[in-house]
Parts: sequence; structure tokens; C-alpha cells
Amino acid sequence: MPSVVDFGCDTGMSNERVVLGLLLILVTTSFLHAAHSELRYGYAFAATAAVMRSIGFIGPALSSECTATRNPILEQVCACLGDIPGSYCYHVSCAIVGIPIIGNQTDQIAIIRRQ
Amino acid sequence: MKCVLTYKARTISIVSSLIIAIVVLGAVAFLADGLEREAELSAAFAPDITVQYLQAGRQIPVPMMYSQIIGREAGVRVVPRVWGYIYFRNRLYTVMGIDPTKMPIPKDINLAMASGRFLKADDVRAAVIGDSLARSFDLEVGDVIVLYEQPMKPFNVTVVGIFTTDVQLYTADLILIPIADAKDFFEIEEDVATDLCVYVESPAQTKLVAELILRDIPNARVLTRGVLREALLAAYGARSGFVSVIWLILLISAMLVAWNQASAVSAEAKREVGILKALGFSTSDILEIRLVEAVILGALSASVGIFLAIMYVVYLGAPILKEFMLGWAAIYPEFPLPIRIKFSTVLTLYAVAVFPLLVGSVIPAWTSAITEPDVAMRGT
Repeated sequence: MPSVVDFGCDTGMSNERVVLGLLLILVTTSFLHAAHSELRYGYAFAATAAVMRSIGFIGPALSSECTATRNPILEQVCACLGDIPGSYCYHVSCAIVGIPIIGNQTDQIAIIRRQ
Repeated sequence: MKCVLTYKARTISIVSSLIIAIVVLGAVAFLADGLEREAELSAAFAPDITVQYLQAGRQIPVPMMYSQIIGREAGVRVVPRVWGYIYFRNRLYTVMGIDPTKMPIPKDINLAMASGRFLKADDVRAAVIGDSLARSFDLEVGDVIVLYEQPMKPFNVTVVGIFTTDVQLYTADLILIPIADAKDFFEIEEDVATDLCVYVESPAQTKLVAELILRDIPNARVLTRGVLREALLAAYGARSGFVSVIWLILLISAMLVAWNQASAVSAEAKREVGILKALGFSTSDILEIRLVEAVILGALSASVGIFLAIMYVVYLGAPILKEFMLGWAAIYPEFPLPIRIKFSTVLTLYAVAVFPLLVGSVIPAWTSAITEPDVAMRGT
């Protein structure tokens, strides 16, 4: 039965400290990650800028295949950017650059090692 | 804090539901911010205008005579590019040909090179490749890549440089070669290019030049830097939008749980209010206690949720969410996720966790606080 004085809270101070300490660690970790992320972007910025200036525009190599091709509700957000270099699409129904339905595409790369 | 620890069932149900909502939102926000940043970065340094040529609504090579027509405008410089795709094990790689003498290559291009060098004006049958490609094929500077066009005629290029992982998002699948070699390889005629990069002296000129190009070349697709940026943001923003809808449903569920738990004040909690009021605590004091309790619960949930979201995207690589947000990037197993953890996003996540809980707690807290002490202590 909890006492009147501590209003039903029979846990000691140690529990509070543990929770507060945990909270502090988590907040610090989150903000440290945020700081690291922002610093890293600042550093990568120069290299990205140099590449973009040197080769013109190129799509991020994430591809941009449709998220909802042939879906009558979501088709309007179809996100093909296949006419931008590097923004190819594997979605067959996009008909931009698709893997053939029958058979595999012929390999077009081979390597000759330096002697 | 003691009360938060005392009412364990209520605390656990509120905190766990909020944590789930914050993990989902946090992970999506970190990825979406990263994608948005990359889209903005890539567009920020794109040519002022990119011109493509259309026939039957599809892109076809652009005749070089249009390059001369566009180049006649004052303060305008036109640089042709040739690019296309090749297959290897049913994966696509981008082969791009540029003219190193005409492209505005900055002096600090070496920042983007992990080994070797960038293309030079006198390079023939040379290639600069992406880090992913180099690792996939175990390539080093000096190795020879044999490319095969559709008729399977071999075309040898020597690797002279490999891009660093910092620019992997753009160069992962890239084979960059001189434009003359690209024309040879793709068997594209000398008097055409895949697209034209147009650079104008003053940014204020861009709109006017774009309009002039459309006037002179009706079949052209004129992509200004702003259009490219909007297209990329729309493409990747839409994906985060889908997940955000799911998150919104989760957040509403969390608010309902908070409301339900805060409303169902236990007999013990009612007695506690009665005792506090009998000891001289005012209604506003009790309201304050309840609201502080809500803030502690919200902050705790947000902290744990954000921490787990960071672990999920940074250290676990955001399984499931990655496939949805990045699509076929999964074809590169070690592809770095474009994650950005902004201070503003972290603060927003805290606000998102605390605010609904405050809103969900204020009315039940008020109802509890205005109860007469004797009624509260009797528990009737």
C-alpha cells in the first residue's frame, strides 16, 4: 500500500536518475548524429559540386521507377525521369528502358586486367 | 517524474505507441531530407539549361546545327553530351561522353577522385568510373573495360580514374568517356548529340534564352535548372508522402491511446488529487503537474523514438523502407543511403511527440483537477 507522503510513488530516487540519465544520453546521441550528418554534407558538397560542373546534370543513381504505374489512383505521381542520364527505369510497363520479358539481356561489359 | 514511474501501465502504453509513431516518421524524414538535399545539390550545379530533342514525344539525338543556333545568342555557351545505357547481368550502367575541353571542369575535381585522375582533353579510349562499378568488377586504374554495343562489337577503354564514394550517389553506375569515344561506341553520327548543356553568363538570362530556344527549335525539350530540381523533388517527395500518410494514421492512434489513458484516471490517481487539494494545492498546480507529466512522457517517447530511428536508418540501413524510398538502388548492395539528420527535423520530432500528448491530456487533467477534495478522496 503506498504511503500518503509519497503519493503512491514507492520507487526510489535511483529510478528517476536512471530515466533522466537515459533521456540525457538519448538526446545527446540524437544531436551528435545530427551534427555529424550536417558536417558530412558540408564536406561532400564540394566533391558533388565539382562532379556536377564537370559532367553536366546526371540523375541520382537511385533510379526513379514508377511507384504506381497503371494504378488509376496513383498514376499521376508516376515519377519516371528516364530521359535524364542515370535515371533509367527497370519497370517494364514504363517502356523507357525495360528488361525484356523473355530471356536476358546480353552482357555488354568484359574486363581485361592490367598486366 | 515519480508519477510517471508509478503509473506503469499508462506510461508504457502511451510511450510505446508514441515511440512507434516517432520511429516511422523519423526514419522517413531522415531519408526524405537526404533525398531532397541530394536533389537540390545535383540541380544546383546542373547546366542552366539542358536541351533535348523530341520526335513522336520521345527523346532522339539532337542535330548539332541546333547547337550553333543556340550558341548565336549573346553570352550563351553550348556543350554537347552523348550518353546511353548498357547492360551487364541485367543491370544497367550509364555510359556518358563529355568534351573535357568545353565542360566547365573546376580545379578541385580531384576532390571527387578516389584514385587516378579526371578526363583530359587529349584522352582517347579512357574512362573514369564510379566506385560501385569499380568494386563490382574489382577494377583498378590501368585496367581495361571492354564495352559491347548492341551488335556486340568490342570497344576497349582504359580506366584512368575512379570516383570517390562521396559522389557515389551520382557516379555509382557511371562510365565517363570522351565524347568522341562515346559517339564511336554508340555508333552515333558525328553531327548529332544526345543532349546539349547550355550555360548562360547571367542567371537572369536563363528564362529568356529558354524561350528563344523553344521559339527556334519547336521540337526541343527545354529543361531549366529549376525544372530539373522540381522534377527530382517531386519524384522523391511523393514517395515520402506515402509513408507520411501511414505515419499520420499512427500518430492519430497514439493520440487516441494518450487520450484514453489520460481519461481513465484510476481510483488511486483520483485519491492523489484529493490529497493534493486537501494539502492546499490549487487547480492550476494540479493541472501543471499533469501537463509536466505529459511533457516528460512526450520527451521520453521522442528521445527513444529518434534514437531508434537513427539506429534503423544509419546502422541497419533502413530495411523495407529503403526499397520503397530508393527503389532500384537496392541493386547496389553497398549503396550508401542519402541520410540527412537535420537539427530542425529532430526538434520537430520532439514537438510532434509532446504537442499531441499535451492536447490529449489537458481536458482529462482539467476534469481531474476541478474535482472536490472530499469527492476525490472518497473515490466516488
